[in-house]
Amino acid sequence: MQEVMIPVRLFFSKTGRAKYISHLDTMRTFTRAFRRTSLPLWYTQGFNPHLYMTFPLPLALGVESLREAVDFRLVQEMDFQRVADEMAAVLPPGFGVVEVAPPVMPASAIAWAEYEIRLAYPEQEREAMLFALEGLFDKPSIDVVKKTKKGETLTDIRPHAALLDCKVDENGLWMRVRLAAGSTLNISPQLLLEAFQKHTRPADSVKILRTAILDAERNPFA
Amino acid sequence: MSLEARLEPILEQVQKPARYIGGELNSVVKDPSRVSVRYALCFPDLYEIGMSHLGMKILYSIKNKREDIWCERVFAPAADMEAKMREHQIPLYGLESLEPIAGFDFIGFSLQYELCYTTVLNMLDLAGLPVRSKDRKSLAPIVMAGGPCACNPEPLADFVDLFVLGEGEEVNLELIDLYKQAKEEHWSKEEYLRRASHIPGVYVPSLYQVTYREDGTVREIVPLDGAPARVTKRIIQNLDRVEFPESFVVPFIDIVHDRSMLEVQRGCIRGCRFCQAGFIYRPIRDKRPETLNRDALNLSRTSGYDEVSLTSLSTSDYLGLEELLDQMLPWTEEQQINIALPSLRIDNCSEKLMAQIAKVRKSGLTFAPEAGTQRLRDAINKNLTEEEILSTCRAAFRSGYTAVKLYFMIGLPTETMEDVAGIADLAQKVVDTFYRMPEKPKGKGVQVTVSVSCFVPKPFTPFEFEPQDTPEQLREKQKHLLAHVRSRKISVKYHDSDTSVLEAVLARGDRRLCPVLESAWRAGSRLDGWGEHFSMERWNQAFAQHGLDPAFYAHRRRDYGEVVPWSHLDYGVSRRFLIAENKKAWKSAVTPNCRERCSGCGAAALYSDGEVKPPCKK
Ligand code: SF4
Repeated sequence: MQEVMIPVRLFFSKTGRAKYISHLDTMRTFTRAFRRTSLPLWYTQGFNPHLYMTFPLPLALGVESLREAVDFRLVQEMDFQRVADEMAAVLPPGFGVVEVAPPVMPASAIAWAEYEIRLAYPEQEREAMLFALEGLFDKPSIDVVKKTKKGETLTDIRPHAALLDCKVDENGLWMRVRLAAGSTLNISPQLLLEAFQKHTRPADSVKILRTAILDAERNPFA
Repeated sequence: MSLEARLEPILEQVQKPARYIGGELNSVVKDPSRVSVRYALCFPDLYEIGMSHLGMKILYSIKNKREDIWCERVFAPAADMEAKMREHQIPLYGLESLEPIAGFDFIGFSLQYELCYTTVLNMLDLAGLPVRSKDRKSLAPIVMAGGPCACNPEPLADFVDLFVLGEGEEVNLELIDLYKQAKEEHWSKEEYLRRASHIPGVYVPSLYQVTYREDGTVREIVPLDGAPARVTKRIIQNLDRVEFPESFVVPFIDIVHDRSMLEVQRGCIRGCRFCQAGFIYRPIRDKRPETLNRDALNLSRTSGYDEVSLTSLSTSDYLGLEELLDQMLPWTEEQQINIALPSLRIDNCSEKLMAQIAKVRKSGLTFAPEAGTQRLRDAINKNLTEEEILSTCRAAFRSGYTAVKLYFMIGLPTETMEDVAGIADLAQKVVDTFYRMPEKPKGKGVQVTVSVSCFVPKPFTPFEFEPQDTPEQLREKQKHLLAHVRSRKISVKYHDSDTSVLEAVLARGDRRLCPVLESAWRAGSRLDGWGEHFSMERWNQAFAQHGLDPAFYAHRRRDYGEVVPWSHLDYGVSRRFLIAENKKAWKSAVTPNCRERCSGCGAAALYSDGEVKPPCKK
């Protein structure tokens, strides 16, 4: 008989080479990491028990992140610092433990995510690109073709996207954006770039970093 | 710009980028300035295949245990990645350091199947190296290869500097130590290879001159420069004490065998006459249950895998199986770890073992009768009777199974059309067995899958003398089989007959095939084992270009007295024994397994003096 069931939220970073690991593979990575610890984890009950684990907001392949979340449960009281230490010891390179805490918000509270995007262009093109980017956000609507399970739909992402900052840097263009996120409406940074690159040439390279996950009031997801 | 930075934009555009970036748990990263030997351990196939191979894991771990060696993994890029690498001039690199392997000391290939040969050439080329051994003049990198195909490596003789025959755990380190001396004393590559040829189990093809008769067969193989006349394969004398990895590199992406693996024994007592592995890995040696249980605990702890597989050529022949399962079941059950038992023959299991297996076995029921009639099963020495197959099926149906998979070969020596029809008959009997059972699972039908591959004659087997069926003959037999299938409960799956012809050519080929291989590769052949890349057309052109006929290699019968291209290589099993076994096959006479009675195959001589272990006799 299990007496207690303690929900836990672990925040982690996924950077460097780890960005090439898809969401599905990230789940497998965590399952195995958990199994290498001595943590008293909660398994689903029933005929084929498996480790309970959910990711409130999956991260796309190719995107780095400073603060992702994974939820799981313990069947015994335990110091969260120890949970953090044990996990830090077993995660592969590229995954870092940021914080372990009791979940405050439900996953459904997630409404926004913020990203830093770096686009590389040759020096002479950078100013024009900056101008084009600002122009994109000056328009009343940004229409993109969004692929969903039901097919392709034309969506205006302008209400769901905010350009927080942008400038020319030593490699090209740097921007900070806030995009709608969550299970009901999720605007990926790749979708925004698609809209941008409809009229401009593709960047020489693209780097995307998720910096924060926020609720509707723009409080950090906790 | 570092290779890692140059890779970035490319990896965004290819399938499964995690194949190409390393960084997996338990991968070994060292400081290059503190090691003296860099080793690129190459598997000439995709990441998912190479990462599933136990031999790679063993060699990786043995080398990296040594502080002075840094061994890295290298796999063949898929077509999309290869195109990007060539476009952006990114050379083949090691997954641990992301540094080009052209600058390494050793490049070692694992040769598991003949169809990987063009990929070996392609990988050398992607590394930026000349594919021909004689065009790589400096000492480093030494290009070496091992694995089962090294038993006749002649089609690769012009490309690879040296081959390791047999088990590599010890000889790899001996080669590395000799290399360190070579580097210190500034030997030439020729000098290194000459000395390496005196290490037992090392075969340096450039030190042998091969001449041919007018009919195309080999006249003579002459050792040069003091190289030994015969090279004998190496075995590990005491398997229980050989190094085994404490951890596996745990991949991010899904691979073919994604689990802990133990090697319970090496070799096989059975002696099925078509099976190369059953002869070239002789004699049988095993590990103690305590050793295996310890290894299983280590791997589970360091990997987090929820499955551990007990591998060998025939795991039910492992004498310590009951004891091992007794030791493993308590902790694996507690940690919810599944024990997988591939290559298990159910027919010779004790009742207790059956009960233990029932606990761990969840996969479907598979059988490998290999041939449809008892007559042909006797000829190939596959000792499995129809009654054994049917009674095991009955037991399985009773416990709820409704699907059975049966593996067969067509094109086996001595085979007649009756034997081919026998495949359909046997499958039908399995179906009938199901419907005749009063206690069959209610409301369900039975599904029998018949998987048919084409027989490929291999060196060091009693069938090395035999011609392979032509594709026409094989297609004829496939048709004949289909015509005999009368039930919709039976589905038949075929393997491609074209690739088996190429396999047969390369398996028993000589060095004259080297230019053919190079031409086929230059024309675009690589990853030939993957249907979508294979073109027999391209190969046929390459054969024609060099005036060679594939049929000479694939479809010709060899005299017992012929000098075969691998005559100078010794795998323990004597030619006399192979001839005797071939004669018995033609009389459909069986040979007892090694434990019933030692047949004096010759493999006992591989034990160092006075150390012959049972069941082998001196
Ligand atoms: S020497 Fe005898 S027991 Fe040993 S492998 Fe050969 S036949 Fe089998």
